[in-house]
Amino acid sequence: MSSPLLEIKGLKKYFLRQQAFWQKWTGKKEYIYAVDGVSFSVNKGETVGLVGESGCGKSTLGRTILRLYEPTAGEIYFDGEKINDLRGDELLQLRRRMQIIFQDPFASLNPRQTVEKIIGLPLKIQGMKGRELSERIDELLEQVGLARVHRKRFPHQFSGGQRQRVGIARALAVNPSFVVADEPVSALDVSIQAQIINLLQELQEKMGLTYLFIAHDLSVVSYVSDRIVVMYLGQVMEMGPAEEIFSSPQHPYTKALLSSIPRIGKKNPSTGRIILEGSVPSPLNPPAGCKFNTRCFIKNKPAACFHEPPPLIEGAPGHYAACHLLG
Amino acid sequence: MAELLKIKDLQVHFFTDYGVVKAVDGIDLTLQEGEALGILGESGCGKSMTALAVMGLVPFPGRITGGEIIFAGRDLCRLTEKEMRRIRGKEIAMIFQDPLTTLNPVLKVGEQITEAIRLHHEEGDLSPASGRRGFFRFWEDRRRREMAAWKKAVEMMEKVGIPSPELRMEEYPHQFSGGMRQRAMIAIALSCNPRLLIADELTTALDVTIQAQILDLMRRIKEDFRTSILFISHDLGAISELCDRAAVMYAGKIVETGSVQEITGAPFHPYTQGILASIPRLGEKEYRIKPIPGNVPDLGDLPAGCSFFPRCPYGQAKCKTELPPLEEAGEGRQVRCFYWRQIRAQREEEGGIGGELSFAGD
Repeated sequence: MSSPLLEIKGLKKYFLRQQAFWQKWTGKKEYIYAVDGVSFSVNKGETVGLVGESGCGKSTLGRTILRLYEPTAGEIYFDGEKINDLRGDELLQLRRRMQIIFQDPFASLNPRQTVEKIIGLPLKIQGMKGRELSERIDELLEQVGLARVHRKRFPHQFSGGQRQRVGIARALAVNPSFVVADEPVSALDVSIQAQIINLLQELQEKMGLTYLFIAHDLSVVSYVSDRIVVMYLGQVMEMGPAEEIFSSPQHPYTKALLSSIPRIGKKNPSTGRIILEGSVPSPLNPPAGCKFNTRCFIKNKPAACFHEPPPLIEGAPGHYAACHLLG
Repeated sequence: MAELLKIKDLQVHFFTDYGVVKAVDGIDLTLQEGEALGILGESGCGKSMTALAVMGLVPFPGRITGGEIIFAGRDLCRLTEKEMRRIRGKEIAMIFQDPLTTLNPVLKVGEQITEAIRLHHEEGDLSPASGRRGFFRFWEDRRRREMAAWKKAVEMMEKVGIPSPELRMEEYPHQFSGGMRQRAMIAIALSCNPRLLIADELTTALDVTIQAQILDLMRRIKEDFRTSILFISHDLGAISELCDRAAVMYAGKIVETGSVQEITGAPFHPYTQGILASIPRLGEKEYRIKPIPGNVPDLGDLPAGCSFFPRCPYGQAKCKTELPPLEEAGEGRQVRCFYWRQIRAQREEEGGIGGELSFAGD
C-alpha cells in the first residue's frame, strides 16, 4: 500500500448566508453546510472518484482541498505536510503541486486571451521566461493533443472538447502531482467525452498523476476510479474500492443512486428500481441525525436515524458506509 | 396503429452572414399513435431544430425551406400562424430543456398552468354557464371559468406528482426544485391533453435520482394518457428507458432508425457503433472505451459525401464524394451507409457487437 498523498480529516466548509442589513443587529446567522465533516485519503497514483447529486458539496470539497476556499474546520495534509495555514510563497509552492481542471470549458478560459497566454500564465507565475516558456507551451499542447498552430487562437475558435484540452494543459503546466478534476467531461458530448477520459488516463500513466475525479455521472466515475467516495449533503455516505461499490453497495443511498442510472438495452428497465421520493433537502437546514433520513426508502427505521448521525463503519476492508442499519 | 406524425424530407436552413447553415437537411420520420420515438444526437446535429420545426417555432434567421410535416392529416408547414396557434399547446405540446428559463419567473406556477387551460378550452368546456341573466352574467361566467381552470390545474399537478398542489400553485418557479419545475412544465404540456408531446432534453439538467423519477413519470404518462412522445436527447440511456423506436441523427441527417433494442444491441451505422463504444459500462472495468476521433463537422461547411466520413473507421473513396441514401435494412430499420452489410459481417466475425449484447444490469 502506498502512502497517502492527500489526507483530510474532519474537513468542514460552511458558507455564511448573505444577510439582510438588519440581521447584523439581530445577530441571526445562517450557514450553508456545504461540507460537513469529511475524512478520507488519496494514495499516490490512484484516482478517487467523488460522486453525489448537485448541491452535495463535492465541488466545494475539491476547492477547499486546493485551498481555493478557506476550510472552516478540519485538517488537510498533502504529502505529510499540513497545508491549512500556508500563506504567500509557501502557498504558491503548493499550487505547483496541486491543480484543478474545471467543468465548464466555456467559462473557465478567458475569452480575450490566446491559448498561449492562458497556458503560459501559471508558468510565468512560477518564474519561467523566454525560450524556455515558449518550448514548454509547445510541449504541453502536444501532450494534450493540440497542435502548434493553435497557440495564437482564442477560446471561441475551439470546440468544447478542444477547449477542455486547453484547460487540461493549463492545469498540467506546472507539473503537478495531484489534480482535482471537477466534472471535466460533464459539458461534453459522448464521443468527445470518451476522448477526454482517455486523454486524462494517458496523462496519468505518463506523468504519475493522482486524481480526485468529481462527477455526477456514475458510469464515467466507475470507469476511471480506483476508489469511490459517495457524498450526500456534505457528508460521506459510503466509500470503498470502485468494484465493490458497484457490485455490493451497502448504503441505501448508494443503492438508490446505482439503481436510478438508465440502463442501455435492458428489457424491463423499471423492474427492481428504487426511485427515491422528493429531492435533496436544503444544505441551509439539513435534517438531524442521518442526513439521508428524509428520502431513505427503508421502512421502520430505528429512532437513531433521526437523532444521531451514523458513524462510518468499515464493513469490508477499505469499504466504509455510514448507516445505522449496518452496525 | 395510425400514423400521427409524418415528416417528409424536412429541411431547416439558417441564412446567416457567413452562408447557409443546414441545421436539418432532409429528414424523414414517422410517429405512430401512442408510440414513443427517441431522437439521439450530439449537440448541433439538428435534433432540437426538428422539434421546433414541428412546433412551427424555428427562430430567425432560420426557415423551413422544404419538406412536409404532416400531423393528423394536415401539413403544418402550410398552416397560417393563426391555425398553428390552435394546434400548438393543444394538440402538440412541447417541454423544453431548461425549466428555469422557460417558466415565467414573475408569474405563479398556478397561473402559468391555468393560462394554457383557459386558452385552449372552449367556453362551455370547462364549466357550464351560470344560467344567471342580466348585468352580472359576464363576470359570473368568467369567475366560474377561472375557478374551473384552477381546479383542473390542481388536478394536473397532482397527476404529475407534485405534493400539496393547492399550496404549490401559489408559489413562484424559483421556489421549486429542478425536478419539481420539470414536473410543472410537464403539467402545463399535458393540461390540454395533447396528442403529441415533444420533450427536448427533458432530463439533461437533472440529477440521476430525479431523472429516474421523471422518466418513471413519462412512462406512466405514455401508458395512462396514450400520448405519443417525441423524446429528444443525447443520452442513449434515457432514450432506451422510455422509447420504443429511436432515430440517430448526425449533422442534420438521420443516419439510422430502428427499435431501441436493435439500435443499442446491434447498431449498423459506424456512428451509432462509435457512440455505443464511447459510453463507459457500469461496473465493467476491463471494458475500454473507444472514442470517435475528430469533431462534429461545421454545419455551414459540410463535406460533399457522407458527413461522417472524416471520422469513420470504415471510410472508402466512394464515401468522400457520394452521399449514401437511407437504405432499408430490415423491418422498420434504415441505415445511411454504403457499406453497412460489410461492416455488420465484419463485426459479427470479430464477435464484437452483433446479436445480444450484455450490458451491466441485465
